[in-house]
Amino acid sequence: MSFIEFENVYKRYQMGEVVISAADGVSFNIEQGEFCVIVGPSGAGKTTVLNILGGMDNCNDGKIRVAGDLVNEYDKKKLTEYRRYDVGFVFQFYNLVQNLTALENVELATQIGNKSLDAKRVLEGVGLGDRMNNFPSQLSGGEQQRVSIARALAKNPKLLLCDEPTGALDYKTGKQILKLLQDTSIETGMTVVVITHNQAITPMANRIIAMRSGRVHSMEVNKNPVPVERIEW
Amino acid sequence: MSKALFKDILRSIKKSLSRFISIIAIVALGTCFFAGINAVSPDMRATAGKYFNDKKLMDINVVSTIGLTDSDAWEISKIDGVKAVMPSKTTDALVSIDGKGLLGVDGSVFSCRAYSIDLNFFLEGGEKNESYLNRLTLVEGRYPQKTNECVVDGCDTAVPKDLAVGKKITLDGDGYNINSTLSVTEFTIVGIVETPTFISFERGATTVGCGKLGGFIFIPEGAFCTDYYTNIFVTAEGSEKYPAYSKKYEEFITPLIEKIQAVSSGCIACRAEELRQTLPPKIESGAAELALKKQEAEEKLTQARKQVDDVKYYAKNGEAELEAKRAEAQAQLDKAQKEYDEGEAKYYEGVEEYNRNYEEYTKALAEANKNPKAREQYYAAVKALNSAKLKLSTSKEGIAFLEQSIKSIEEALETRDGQQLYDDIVKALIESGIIDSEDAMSREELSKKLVELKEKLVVSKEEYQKGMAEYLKNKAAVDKASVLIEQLDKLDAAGEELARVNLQLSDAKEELDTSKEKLDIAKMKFEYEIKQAEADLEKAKENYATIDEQYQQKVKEINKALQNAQYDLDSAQALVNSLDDAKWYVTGRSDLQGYESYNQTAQNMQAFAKVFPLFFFLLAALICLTTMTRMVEEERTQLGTLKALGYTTKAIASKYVIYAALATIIGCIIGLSFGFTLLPTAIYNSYGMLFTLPPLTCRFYFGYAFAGIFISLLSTVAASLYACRNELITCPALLMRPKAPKSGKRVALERVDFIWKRLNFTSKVTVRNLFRNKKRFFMTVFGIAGCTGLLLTGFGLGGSIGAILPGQYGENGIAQYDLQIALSENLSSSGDKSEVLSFIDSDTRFAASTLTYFRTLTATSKNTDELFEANLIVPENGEMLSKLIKLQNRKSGKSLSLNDGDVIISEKLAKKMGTEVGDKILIKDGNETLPLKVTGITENYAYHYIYVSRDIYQAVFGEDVGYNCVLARLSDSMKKSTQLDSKKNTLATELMGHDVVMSVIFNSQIIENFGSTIDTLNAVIVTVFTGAAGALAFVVLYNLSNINISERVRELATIKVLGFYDKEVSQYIYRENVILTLMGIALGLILGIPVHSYVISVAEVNVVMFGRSIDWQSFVFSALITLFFAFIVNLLMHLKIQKISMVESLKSVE
Repeated sequence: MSFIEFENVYKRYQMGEVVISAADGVSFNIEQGEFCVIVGPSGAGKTTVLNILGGMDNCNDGKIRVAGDLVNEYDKKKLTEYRRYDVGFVFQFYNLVQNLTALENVELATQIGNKSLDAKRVLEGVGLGDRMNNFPSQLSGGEQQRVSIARALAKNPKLLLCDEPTGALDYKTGKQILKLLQDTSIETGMTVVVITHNQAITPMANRIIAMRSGRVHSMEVNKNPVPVERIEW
Repeated sequence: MSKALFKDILRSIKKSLSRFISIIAIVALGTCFFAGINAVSPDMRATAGKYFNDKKLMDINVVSTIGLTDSDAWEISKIDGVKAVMPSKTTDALVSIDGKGLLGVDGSVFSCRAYSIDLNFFLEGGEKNESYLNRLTLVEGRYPQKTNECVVDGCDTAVPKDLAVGKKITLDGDGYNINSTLSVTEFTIVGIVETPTFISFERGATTVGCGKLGGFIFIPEGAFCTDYYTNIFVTAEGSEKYPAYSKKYEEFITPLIEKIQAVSSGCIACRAEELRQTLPPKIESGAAELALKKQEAEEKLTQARKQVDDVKYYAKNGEAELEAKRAEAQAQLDKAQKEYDEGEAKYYEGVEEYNRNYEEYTKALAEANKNPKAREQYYAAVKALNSAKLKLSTSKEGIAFLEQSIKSIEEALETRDGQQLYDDIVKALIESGIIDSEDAMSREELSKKLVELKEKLVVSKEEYQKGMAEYLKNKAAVDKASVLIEQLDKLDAAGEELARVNLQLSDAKEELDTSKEKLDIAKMKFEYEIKQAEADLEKAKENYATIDEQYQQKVKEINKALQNAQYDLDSAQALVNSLDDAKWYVTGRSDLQGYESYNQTAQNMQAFAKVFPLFFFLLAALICLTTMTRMVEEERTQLGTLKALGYTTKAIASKYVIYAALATIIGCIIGLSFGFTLLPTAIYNSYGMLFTLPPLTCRFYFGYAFAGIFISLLSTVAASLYACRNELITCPALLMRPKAPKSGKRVALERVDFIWKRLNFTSKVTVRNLFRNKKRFFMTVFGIAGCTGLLLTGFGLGGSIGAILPGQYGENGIAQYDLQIALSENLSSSGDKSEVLSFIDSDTRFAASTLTYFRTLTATSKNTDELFEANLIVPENGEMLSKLIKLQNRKSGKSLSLNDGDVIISEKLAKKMGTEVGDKILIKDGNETLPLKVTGITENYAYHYIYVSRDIYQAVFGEDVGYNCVLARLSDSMKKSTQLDSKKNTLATELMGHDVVMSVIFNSQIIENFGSTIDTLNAVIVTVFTGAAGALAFVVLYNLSNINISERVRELATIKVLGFYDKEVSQYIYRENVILTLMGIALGLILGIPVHSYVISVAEVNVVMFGRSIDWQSFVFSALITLFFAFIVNLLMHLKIQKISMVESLKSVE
């Protein structure tokens, strides 16, 4: 039994007479501790899959298992709990609370968790030990994204989901972020799922899921993932 | 503007309907209040003006001190500018129904003013008659057709309910002879009317009754028997053109008044001369007649008195006799009773003894009956004894005989002599049977016989001994038995005795019963007789009472007639004396009761109009500003795009301007339509109970409408432009990028480490969020403050209005007296011990009382044109007055006392007349104006009072004080007792039983009568304020919360993703709202206090003073209701937050 299992998952939208399937029978599985990359062109359904996996949306059909639990059957409350304790989310546009300092942003997450890590230490872990008391407006893009990651990690979740984490960052900073994610996965054994449309970074992953038109086009297991510093694009 | 842009406008309206509507709502509110409050005043005046014109209300009233005549009327009508003239006769009178004096709504004696009316006015075509001025409006029933019919005042607040259609009323004079004025004094009420001369519930002052005029009635001209008019009403040509109460009207009328005044001298001279000729002779002859009549009356009365006294005497004596008889008979009865009782006692003693004896007897009998055969045995024994005795005696006889025979025989044998003797003896022996035959009784035979006989004798003796023994035995037995028998006999005797006694006893009982019957009958007879005698006496007494009553009645009648005649003489004389100083009083409408106070009320409304709408407009602008700012922010990128496309700033801005303007115009239309109709009507109706006028005519005032629209548009458009301005100056590129989120800032509180460290995380977030957006912060706080302030004002106003009656008449009120007793005579001082005064002094139901002079008169001052009806009180004892009326200055809290030289006036009166301590006020007494210098101002809540010390009254009014009123306070025990109402009624009846008492009014009656009026007023005010406040709170809070959420949608979605429960997400926003609401409430409660004071001083009605303080309940309710509104809004926000889709909100901002 895999850590994450998607079994014929459908997500349909009704737009008047037209039915659009954002996820059209998606099936895959991810093992624990893997660094997984989901690639695909725009409209492939990657974000949909991530949203469903992250408990932010329901599917219309199919089964989703995370650590053995059937997530697709969760009601609203259980989904909130799922998000609270089991999932860490990193957004493309960071979505930090402007009115809180970096530390407080992370504390926002640790305060509601039941197995949270110490916020300060997590921030130090992402390299922001001396920027803890700055507001997001006083931080650079990369620093903000790191805060975002710290926020996700501090909750000590079962899995870490990242939606185009480097989308708003430049090449160098982006690489730094990816390295952070990869290191986290290796050091803590956290299952990390990253969505991107950048094919070039797929070598760094343990598993590569390619999606197209709402379906899994291919799923590859990479026995020898490459450290991201070594990848150039 | 391009079609596409226009479509955009319409679609964005559709999409953001709630935003659009919120602007409409706040604008509507603002314009509604603006238009409404501004319209009330002119509407009120217009309504009155129309009414006055329709009913041809007089413009000028002419009154003469010596009466007006037809020629006077003609003179006036000739004057240029006079349109119509209506002469009228009036008289003030007391009213009684079914013989009982009518009491007014406040319990005082009801007096009315009877106006004459020409019955022709009510006939077909009567309205065309130009002389029909002050036209009546028939409310119920019909107009009079006969001389003994009338129509009356129907005002609920002024007139008692007894004055209804169908009732028969009798008018009576007070201090004058009504029969000299009216030929008909009994009228049937056939209808109820309204007149434009009395538009408020105030009726004014009069000289009859207690000084307060109760109501008006209209009676046919024919009922008056005077030959002069009291008033001439005049209308001016073209006066309808001038709006009521306007300056132009005043300026128009004044010259005409002067013209009329100019002709007065001529008319007066004419009239005076006439009177000089006719009156003095009448007075003379009248006086003489009166003197004569007085004499006659005296004689008649003395006679009648004697009759009455006789009857009285009988009644009294009869009483004594009856008493004596009763005593005697009673004594006899008592004696008989005593005897009977003794006999009874004895009887019962006898019965006891009998019973005791009977018991013993029964016991003995039982004993004896153990030996039932005793008697038989005895008898047997006796029989045996007797037979033994007989036997013995026979034996003894036999023995004796034998012995005799023996003796004889022996003798015979011994004798030898004489055979004869021997033959005789033998013969004797044969005769006696001893020997049988005459056989020759030889001696041997004889000797044989002798031996035989001797043997017999021995046997007989033996037998005799036996018999004796038996006899003795029997005797013994008998003796024994006889003892027993004796006992039995005794017993029998006893039994017989007992039976006899029993019989005796029953006889005795019978006797006793008979005598008891007799006694009872005697008693009954006695009672019956006594009753008869008493009944007779009663009858006699009644007769006396009836006779006495009749006598008293006669006395009253005669006295009244004499009094009336005297009045006539006096008034005629007074008239003659005044001829030299005669003048006309020519006045305008301002002297009409209620005329000026109506105007004043209308004016008060205008004061409101300055403040309230401003508040709402300001708010409208603010809301529009925030709303449009939000809208612009949301459409940022669109703006940038349009700019990039090449649209001018103007074109782009126009969208928002049009959006705002459209909303504003719709809002104005709604606001104005309600504002010109509902609001003025609501306000007018809440004052409605004070005025008798037709329903409000609502007018559309273009001025106010345009002003309202203009101000609204200005505020909203300006706000929109301001909102756009910032964005529109920015270059398109920047616009198209997402707006940089507002940077977080440290809050001042953070520096206070001490507090900051203690706050938990969420509190820190809340504090920072609070201060992040200053505009929102202030708007919410002020919006809420406004809501709470309005509520507080509303409740406070309600409380203040509700405080009037208790403040004046309640437990701790100004009036510490519980009842007012009006007297029909003016007592010169309590030295003139009227019995009612002694009654009050001695009765324990009263705790305190004081004698006063009470009168209603008109007061004014140099600082105002208005006339005020005030109650004048002159106490006999200033100190006692302080015990019965709380005289204290409200502002300083000092208590005042009415000492010599003092004149104290009530606070409201002082304020209205602009008078302070030391200033003078002017009193209108009849036709004179008298000044009084004020030495103190006292707290008071209902009506106006002027307290004058005795010496000042005498000095200023030039006459001695005649006390006509008693103020009294009930004792505490009386007030605490059960069934207080019936006790009060009893007390009132007892007081009214004294002739000199005219009326008794309890304060509790006053409170009852006015209670419902005040409650209604209260309800309207509270509803209006609460409604406005609610609308305000809702719009402000809802709007701001909406904006708050839309601004922070991303933030909220993020924390949702982080796993915050719905509740926690809502709380994230709530906390700020709650704090802001609490701050707003606090501010509102504070600000509400001065607003409340302001509203009170403006909205106050003339005759009352609203309570100045706000009770704690108002504060609590205002806060609670605001919280309630906030709660509802929060609930709605919660629902909105729940709906935030994480996925949608966090979509990349590209």
